[in-house]
Amino acid sequence: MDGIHDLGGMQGFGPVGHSPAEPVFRRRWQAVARALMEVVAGAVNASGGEFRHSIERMEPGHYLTSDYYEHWLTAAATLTVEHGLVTRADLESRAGGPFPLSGPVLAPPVLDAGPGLDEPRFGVGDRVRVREWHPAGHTRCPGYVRGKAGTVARVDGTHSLPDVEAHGTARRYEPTYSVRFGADELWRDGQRGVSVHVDLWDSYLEPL
Amino acid sequence: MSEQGHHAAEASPVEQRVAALEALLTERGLVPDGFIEEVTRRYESQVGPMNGAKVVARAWVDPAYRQRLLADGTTAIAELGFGGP
Repeated sequence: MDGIHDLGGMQGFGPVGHSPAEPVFRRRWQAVARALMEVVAGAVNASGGEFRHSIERMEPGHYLTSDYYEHWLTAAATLTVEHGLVTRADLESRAGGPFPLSGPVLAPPVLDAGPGLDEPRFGVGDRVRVREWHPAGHTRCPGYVRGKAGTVARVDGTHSLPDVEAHGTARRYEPTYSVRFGADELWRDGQRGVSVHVDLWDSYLEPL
Repeated sequence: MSEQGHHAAEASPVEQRVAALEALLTERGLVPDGFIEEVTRRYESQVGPMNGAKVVARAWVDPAYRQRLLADGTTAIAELGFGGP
């Protein structure tokens, strides 16, 4: 889905705060949230795609103004409610106040993902264009490369397509590629000679 | 966090939400004893960007290691005790 989680290539949010010695967890609640996500993912058998999509569905204002581990907490709580382990009322009663959860899944469940793809359609050096589309569900194709032309730099292994696994138990396995884009292809003022490599699944691409 | 009775007044809203989810999952028998401490230790001491930094720093000062790293990264990082899926 197009959402506030997809910040690649967007500027104007100010500098990223970073300290070279930053601790893994600044507060104990962050470590607990991290561990609880692992508990929940195991309990509901969530795929990586389903987990990521549960974060993407956070209300945009909440997403932008909350801590990284608050994203994990919100996702974990959302999955526990969606899978019937607890209710929102349970959560709010225990927390003694509002417990914001992620919004609903907007894409239909994927019941049949069709046959997978074993053989790569593209080889190193092939020119490709990323499909220009705006799915209602999960994708790991960042918005800033959609519609852009690039060159296959490496053919990688076959992996489960996140766009399918986020929406049910069906799986589709496809080759993945490292695709090189010129910065000046991605952005009007991108620097010539600078390139960006993006890992993309086969079905994100079309021949050029 | 487990002693919420003592500190409830000072807990921030996000801490209260984490405590709520932890309590509900624990009551359902889903949080093994010591699991949160184990995950915390794993992320504080075993995984993280410093592992990659050690590999890169070694490659800077050891040209033979750099060649091995470029040829087969998984095998080369195993020399430093690191692995992956």
